[in-house]
Amino acid sequence: MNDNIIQRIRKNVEICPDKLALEVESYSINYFELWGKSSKIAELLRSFNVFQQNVGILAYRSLSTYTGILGALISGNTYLPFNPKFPNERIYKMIKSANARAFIVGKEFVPILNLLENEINEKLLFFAPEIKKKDLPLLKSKIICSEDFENIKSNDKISAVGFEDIAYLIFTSGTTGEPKGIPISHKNLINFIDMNQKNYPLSINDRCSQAFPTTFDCSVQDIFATWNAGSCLVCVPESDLFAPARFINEKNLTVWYSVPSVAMFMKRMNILKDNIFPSLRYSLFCGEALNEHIAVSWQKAAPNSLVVNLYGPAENTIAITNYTWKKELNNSVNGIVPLGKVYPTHDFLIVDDNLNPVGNNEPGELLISGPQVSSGYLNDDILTLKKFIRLEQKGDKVWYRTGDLVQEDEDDDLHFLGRMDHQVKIRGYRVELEEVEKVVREASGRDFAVALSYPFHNPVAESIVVVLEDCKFNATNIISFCKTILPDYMIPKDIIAIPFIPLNNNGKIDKNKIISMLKENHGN
Amino acid sequence: MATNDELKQFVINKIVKKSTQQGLKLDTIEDNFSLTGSGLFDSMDFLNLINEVESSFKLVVDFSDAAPEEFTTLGGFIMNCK
Repeated sequence: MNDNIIQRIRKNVEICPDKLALEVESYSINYFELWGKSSKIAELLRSFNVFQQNVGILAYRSLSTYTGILGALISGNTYLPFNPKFPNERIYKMIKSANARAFIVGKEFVPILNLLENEINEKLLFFAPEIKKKDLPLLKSKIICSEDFENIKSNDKISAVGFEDIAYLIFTSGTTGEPKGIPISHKNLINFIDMNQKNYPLSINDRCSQAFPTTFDCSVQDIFATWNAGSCLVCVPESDLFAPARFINEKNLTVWYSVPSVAMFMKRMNILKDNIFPSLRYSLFCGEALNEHIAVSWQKAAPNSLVVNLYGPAENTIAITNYTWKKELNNSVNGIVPLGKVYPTHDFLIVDDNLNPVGNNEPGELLISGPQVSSGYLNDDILTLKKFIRLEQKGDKVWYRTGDLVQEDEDDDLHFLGRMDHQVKIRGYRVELEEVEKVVREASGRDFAVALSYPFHNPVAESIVVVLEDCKFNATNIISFCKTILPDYMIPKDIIAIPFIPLNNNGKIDKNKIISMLKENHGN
Repeated sequence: MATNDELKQFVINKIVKKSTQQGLKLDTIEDNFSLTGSGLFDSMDFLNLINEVESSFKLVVDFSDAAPEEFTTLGGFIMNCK
């Protein structure tokens, strides 16, 4: 582990400068051009003394997204990705929490620059490498447009960063109602990249999908596993994400990586036909439970491909276990493909409620320790101490409590059994139900709101419903309010009235009783 | 066998119901109306719409020959219901 990811990419620029590095929108650029554009951004960031800061990427599925990410890293900064689908309120919270003052801007975010500037109420720095001055609004902040970039020369300079410096900052749902920042260091990242390259080697001939939103940490694997190997990153346009079959074939992709839901949608729409994806050699799935019937269908659709289930919380840098699915192994539990084995670079424990290791093959919470484990949460020492723990009998090692209930089988493969808390996954996104409840309480003025994943008791959640007492509320207004605060995957599908909120013997809200009441009154 | 007009009316009714639920008023619904792009239907809603069309009209929806930007419009959706 002598080089960080930027030095690796720089080497590829020397080895294969003419090789395609990125296809996005109508652009196809090689490694030399990618570095050239990114190093100009880096040079401008340096010229404004932006170093070891959180640089916001206000760009999405456009050229500036990728050159901005690389430029931020070349100049020794941390990149912080944003999604234009997020409500402005959430974007402001993330910016304030990360104290970001410099931003790479793509055309996707131009409409909110004025609002953002007013909300932050400080002088900001906007770098818009692909936008002409005439297409930008009048701002109080400093803005560097495409004309300014023309005068900058690209160069080979890489600002010094240590392995403990932060490469990216990703936000997920938080139980307190505020998005939670997870800083991932260069050490975390390069350890993951090396493990990934060892397990599923990429070559300069590979063409890898970039389907995940950049606010989803699996996008980091898309981008950097690809550029680490000198492969070509192919950005999937928003319009094709829903059912990308045609895109995979037209672009001759060799690697597909997405949440299993994408495969499920294609199967349901009768698109997932046998041998429809002959070019694929790796099909990677991550972010939510992979149903066996989806794995079976995908394997038939991509007969030349390995079908791989990856698992890992964002706090453990993208993925920490892998399982290459094979039908003949018949190793699924409850129809869910195993998580597989923890990477050999890491230690793991399966523990009971008292943090004592469980007996052989007994279920318990998964704890992880090793070089991919983040240092903790941004600005939240209390939560960090709760989730990143030390165990008396294990010395100085830090263990991350995943909150995932798992079981190890006779072949040492882990199986996912459920969550220990109220976190659910919607299309791969982590959702803390408490965060949804908080916003609904605020919107409805009620003391109690109970968020439930739907379908009830299904290991793969599709949406969220919220239950309120009595029926004197306007569900449309509550959902409209939620849309101003929460990203689309967290917005409740429905607000349902029940006569009373039942409590169990411990005085806690009895969710099972609520589900029974709903099934009685509304069916499944 | 359902006619295209019957299918279209069925889907339009669903669109109107959705928009009413979300407090939106649609003036006109043309064939190029985007079910998913309008924000009315997310991916799960779209799958539910397929289920409802299949069970109500006893047919199979097959989008294998169509592009997403086509079959997610009202007209394209109807055209690909076989």
